[in-house]
Amino acid sequence: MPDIFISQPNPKKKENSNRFNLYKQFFSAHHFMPDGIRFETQEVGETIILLLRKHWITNFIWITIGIFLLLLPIVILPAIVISGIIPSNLPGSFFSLLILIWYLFTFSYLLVNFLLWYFTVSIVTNERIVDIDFINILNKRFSATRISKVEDVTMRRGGFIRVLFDFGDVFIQTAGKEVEFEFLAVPDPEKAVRIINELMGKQKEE
Amino acid sequence: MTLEQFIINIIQATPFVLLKLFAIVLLFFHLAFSFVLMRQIKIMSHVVEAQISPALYTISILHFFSSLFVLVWVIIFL
Repeated sequence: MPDIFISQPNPKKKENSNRFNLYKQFFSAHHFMPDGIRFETQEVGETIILLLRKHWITNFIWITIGIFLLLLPIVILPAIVISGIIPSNLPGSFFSLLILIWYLFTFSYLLVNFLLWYFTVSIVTNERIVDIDFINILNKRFSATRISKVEDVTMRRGGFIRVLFDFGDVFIQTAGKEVEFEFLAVPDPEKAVRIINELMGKQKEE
Repeated sequence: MTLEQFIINIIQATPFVLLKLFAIVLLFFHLAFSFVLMRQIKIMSHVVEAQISPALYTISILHFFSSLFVLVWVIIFL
């Protein structure tokens, strides 16, 4: 039977959908086989299988503080002016200065917190496990180990918030005196453990 | 005139000069911080390379120039 009407794909809708997927990909805390992402020391033929960040809910505190800091001058400044605490001979530019400095520091606070979240990543590749921790804006810790050196993978999830939002910690124990790898507050920790276990199995088969 | 009296005289005579001086010092430190942040984002973008990295670097440049703008504004207008 011939088709009477075949709907044409709406290019605008498709473009919006692509853009949404792009934002979702870049701001997601759980990437499986991510596209367009590379990391320092990535070897030739090494593919990123899993890229993890802390669950977005862990950003709740600094985002709330940020919103509070953004709204505070709108509430506080008129109250101060009305109450007459500040002397009336104060120049108008003083208030402008106060607002400018306030928003400048609030912007810095939000930017630094976002960067610390965004660039602190745990990566599982087909060959290695990489943990990049930005302790603060000036201090970075980079650790990596071969999948073949991984001995044990454990997961821990406890507490109301963690169960509700499905995130937890993954601990990777390596052979010898090497340090334990910690993927803290990552979303869907079972999946991360399963993928690492599968990779360990493949390595042993090879 | 003791040092204490001298400071009291300055505060009484020109309280806004001290305020301006304090703001300039604070903003100068913030400018240095925003410059370091701009450099650090460039380094971070090499550690984890994503297509969004240039956008983050642009935001850090905007942040640096906002800091510079406020500093210049304080020097000129306050």
